[in-house]
Amino acid sequence: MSVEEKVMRSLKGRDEVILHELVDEVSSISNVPRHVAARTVYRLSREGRIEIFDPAPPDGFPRYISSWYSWWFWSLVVLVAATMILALAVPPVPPVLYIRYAIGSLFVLYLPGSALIEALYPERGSLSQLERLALSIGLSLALVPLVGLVLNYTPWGIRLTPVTTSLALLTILLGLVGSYRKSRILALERVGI
Amino acid sequence: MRRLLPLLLMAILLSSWTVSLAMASTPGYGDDLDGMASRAFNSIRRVEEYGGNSTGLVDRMNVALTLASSGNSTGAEEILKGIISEAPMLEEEGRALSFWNSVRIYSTVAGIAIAVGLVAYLTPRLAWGMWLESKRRWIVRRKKGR
Repeated sequence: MSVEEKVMRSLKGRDEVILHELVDEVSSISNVPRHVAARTVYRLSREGRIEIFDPAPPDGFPRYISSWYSWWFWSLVVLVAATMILALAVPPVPPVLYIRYAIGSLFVLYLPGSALIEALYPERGSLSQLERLALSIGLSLALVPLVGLVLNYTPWGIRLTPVTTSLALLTILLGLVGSYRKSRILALERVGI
Repeated sequence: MRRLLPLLLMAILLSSWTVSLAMASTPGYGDDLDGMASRAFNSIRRVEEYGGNSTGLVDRMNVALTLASSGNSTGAEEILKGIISEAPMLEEEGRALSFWNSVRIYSTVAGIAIAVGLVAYLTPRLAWGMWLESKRRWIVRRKKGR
C-alpha cells in the first residue's frame, strides 16, 4: 500500500485530524521518514483530495506579522540585512567576497521585484510560482534603475551606501505593504468573504 | 731565409694548436665550468619540477654566467657550487609543498562532496520540518465526495 493510500485510510471515518498528528501516524504506520509523510499530505492537498486549513488564523496585522504566515517577509528582512552587513561592514576578501556576490545579485536582481509582486498580488493563487519568479526578476530590473535615477537628483548621488540603503528601504517597505495586504485577505477569508 | 719560411710558419701553427689544446684541457677553465654550470642548471630544473622555489637559484645562476663570461671563473665556480649544494634542500621543500598542496586539494574536493551529500540529506527534512512547524495547529480533512 502506498503512502498516499495510508494517508487516505487514516482519514477514513474521522472528520478532522490535526496535521502533525496525521503526519506522525502515517510516518509510523508506513515506516517512512516524517518529511516523506508531510510531502505526501501536501501533495494530496494540492491534488484536491484533502483539505488543510488553519482553524484560527491570525486576526489583524500585528498578529499576522508575528506568525508563521509572514515567514517570507522575515526571510526578506534577513537577506536584506545580510546584504547590508556584507556590503558595508565586512571587508571584501575571499571567501566573504563570493557570498557577497551571490547575496548581492539576489538583492539587486530578485528581492525588490519579489517584494513588489507580493504587494501587487498578495493572494496566493493569483499567480503561479513560475510567474512570480519571472515577474520578480523583470520588475527588479525595472525598479533598480528608477532608484538610481531618483538618487541621481539627491545630494547623496549614486554611491554604494545610498544605493544599498535605498534599495533595502524600498524592499522592506514593499514587503510591509505585501504583508499588510496578505493580512487583510486572511481577515476577509476568516469572515468568509 | 726563403727556405726557412715554411718551416717557421709550420712551427707557429703547431705551437698555437698545442697551446689551444692545452688551454682547453686545463682543469677549471673550460670543461669544469661548463660541467658545473650544466649540473647547476639541472639542479634548478629539478627544484622547479618538484615545485620548489627556484627564483633565488635562477638569479644566482645568472650572476654566475655573467661572471664566467667576463672571465671571473673562480667567482662563477663558487656561486655554481653553492647552487648545486643548496638545490637538494629546495627539492625536498618542493616535494613537501606539493604533497601538502595535494592534501589540500583532495580534502577540499572531499569536503565539497560531503557538503553536497549533507545538503541533499538535510534540506528536505529541514524544509518539510519547517512546513509542519508552521502549520502546527492546522487541521486536515477529506474533501467531500473523495
